[in-house]
Amino acid sequence: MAFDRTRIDQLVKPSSVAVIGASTDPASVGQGVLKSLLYGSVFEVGGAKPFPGKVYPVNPHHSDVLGKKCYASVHDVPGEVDLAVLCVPAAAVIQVVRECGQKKVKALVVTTAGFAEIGAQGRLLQEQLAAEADKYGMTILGPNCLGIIRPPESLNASFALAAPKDGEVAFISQSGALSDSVIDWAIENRFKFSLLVSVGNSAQLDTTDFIEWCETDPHTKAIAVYLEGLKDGRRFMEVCKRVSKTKPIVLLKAGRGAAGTKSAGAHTGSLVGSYRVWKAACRQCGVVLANDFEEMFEFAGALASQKRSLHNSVAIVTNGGGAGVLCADYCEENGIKLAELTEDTLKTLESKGMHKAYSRRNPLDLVGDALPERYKAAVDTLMSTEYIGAVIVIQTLQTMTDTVEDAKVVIEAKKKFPDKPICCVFMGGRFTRPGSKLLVEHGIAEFNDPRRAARTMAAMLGLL
Amino acid sequence: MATALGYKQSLSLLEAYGIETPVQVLVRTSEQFDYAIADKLRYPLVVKAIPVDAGHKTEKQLVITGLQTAKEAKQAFSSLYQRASGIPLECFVIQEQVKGVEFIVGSKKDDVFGQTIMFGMGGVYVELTRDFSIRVCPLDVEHAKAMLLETKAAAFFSRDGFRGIRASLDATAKFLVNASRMVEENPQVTEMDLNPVIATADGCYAVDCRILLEQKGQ
Repeated sequence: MAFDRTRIDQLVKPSSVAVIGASTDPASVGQGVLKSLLYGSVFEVGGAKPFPGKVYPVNPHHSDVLGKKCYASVHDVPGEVDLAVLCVPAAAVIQVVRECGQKKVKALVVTTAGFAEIGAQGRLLQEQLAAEADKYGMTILGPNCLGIIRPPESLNASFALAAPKDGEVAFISQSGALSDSVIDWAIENRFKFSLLVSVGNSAQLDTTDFIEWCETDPHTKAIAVYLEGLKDGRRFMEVCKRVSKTKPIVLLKAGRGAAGTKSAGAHTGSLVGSYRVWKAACRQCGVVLANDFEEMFEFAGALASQKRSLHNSVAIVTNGGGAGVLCADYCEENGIKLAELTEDTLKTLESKGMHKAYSRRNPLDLVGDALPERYKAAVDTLMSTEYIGAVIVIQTLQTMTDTVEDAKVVIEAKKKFPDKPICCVFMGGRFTRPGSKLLVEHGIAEFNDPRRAARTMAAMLGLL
Repeated sequence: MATALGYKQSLSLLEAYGIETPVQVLVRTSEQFDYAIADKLRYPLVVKAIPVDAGHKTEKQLVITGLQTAKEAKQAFSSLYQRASGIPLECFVIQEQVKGVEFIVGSKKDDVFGQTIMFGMGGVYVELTRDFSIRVCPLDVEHAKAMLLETKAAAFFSRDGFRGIRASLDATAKFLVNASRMVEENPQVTEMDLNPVIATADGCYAVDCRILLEQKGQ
């Protein structure tokens, strides 16, 4: 089916939502979804806003749920219903879909499990579901999904435990349960989202459709994708090739184990395993492959807030030799080239005030007693040097280290040189937190570990 | 299950896509063999027996290389004739031996992405070295070159070659592009080994091939 973005618009921007299967049982999915809509979040989190449109609980067994009037059927809802979230047993789904069709509901979120994921019988039911929705021209998300969260529209049509804050990264996930944990983790780690969607079994809309939709979504600057499998790899590549030009796409692919298959004595079959093909495909269509889900969000966060660069020539600034050397090792492992500092650059650095024992080479070791002025001399010089494409700033914690002022040096440099990627390793804990917090608030990727910084830098340089 | 495409048909498929092979003659009898080697073939020659179900010929010792004279070639033919007794044969092949660097070019139809193309270093040891690169088809010349240069084979494509042995980057990249176009336009091909592929300073040749087809009705 050709991609029609209005289908996803209907999911993302409804003015009225019905929760079919809304329940008085606090442990039910139906109550979870209703709470998400009414309060913005099941669990109390700062900043979650109630859905600004109309919300209708539907359930023949209740007269009211959470203090809202509950309707016996979607037919009884007085106004129009743009979006219906189905939280009913699998056996009831087809009937409810038909009623929604008659009511002229535009889009459905089917949270219910028990479809294609359980085998042949479920697959049949899923086909019926898609056919029934198609009959009425309705959009379906799911089945077997957590739902959709769109922070910019204050829409939380999901049974996630909490809602993340409004940000610039769209997260498209094939796993519902994983999304739930991710949200909890994201809140804890200050990650924010423009969209969070769990595609479930993709009876109709799949991961590729959402990637394509994000291309022109003004709220999304980078796309994070968790994927287990895909039907149409060529369409995925075609879409990603185009979308990744303007919106970086980061993929975490599960199910890498499958090695090549022994077949009829040919070599190629035994060599070409499916994950090798995924790696090749991603490279061909500009998708960044992450190794784990923290990386996925770190990459997506960095790519949403900074421009990518193809100038693979990195300088490392550090106030600790060990951290610098480690970082250089990790850079090399990830295909990053370290710039060789010229005599001219060293002269400029010295004229701005270096320690006598500074390293005179990359990684540029400023020596442990470096104050913000020395960091500024180094960071400004390197960022303004033409043959250097990007900079990693490492700060180890010494008694005289001023972590907040060091952070400001980096923030200023990023403003002055927006085309050069920069990321930081502010190693430490409690006493470096004020500096690292400031960096993150200003859209600069910050890590406690040089390896993660090198990986993110590699992602920003298009090397992964 | 897949079925293997016969040698003769495989050669015509390769030819249709501009994939070069060494000069060769296919024969069935010793009379045809004698006639063929008396003709224009240039020494050294290689003689192969091609089983109907073409497995790895080296492992079954159905290939004899480095034949310098007509006498040597005839001897090779008769010993292959004996070795192959009991194995149903499609034909015998007499090939001009190409001197160069041995590569493997292969393809496999992936469930998700469709036809893929693979390039790796040398012949039979590629499963050990695992030094190979992959792309989803189709492929343009630039991507083909990148694919060649990301393996250790890059040394052979450099200006000075590796220990003086050079392989043509242009010819090998063109070879890859043609192979990728061939499998892309023939979706019934599920797997292919062009192995070895021998590249010289100005050419690139499929010396042996094995093409597996989807069985109809499956």
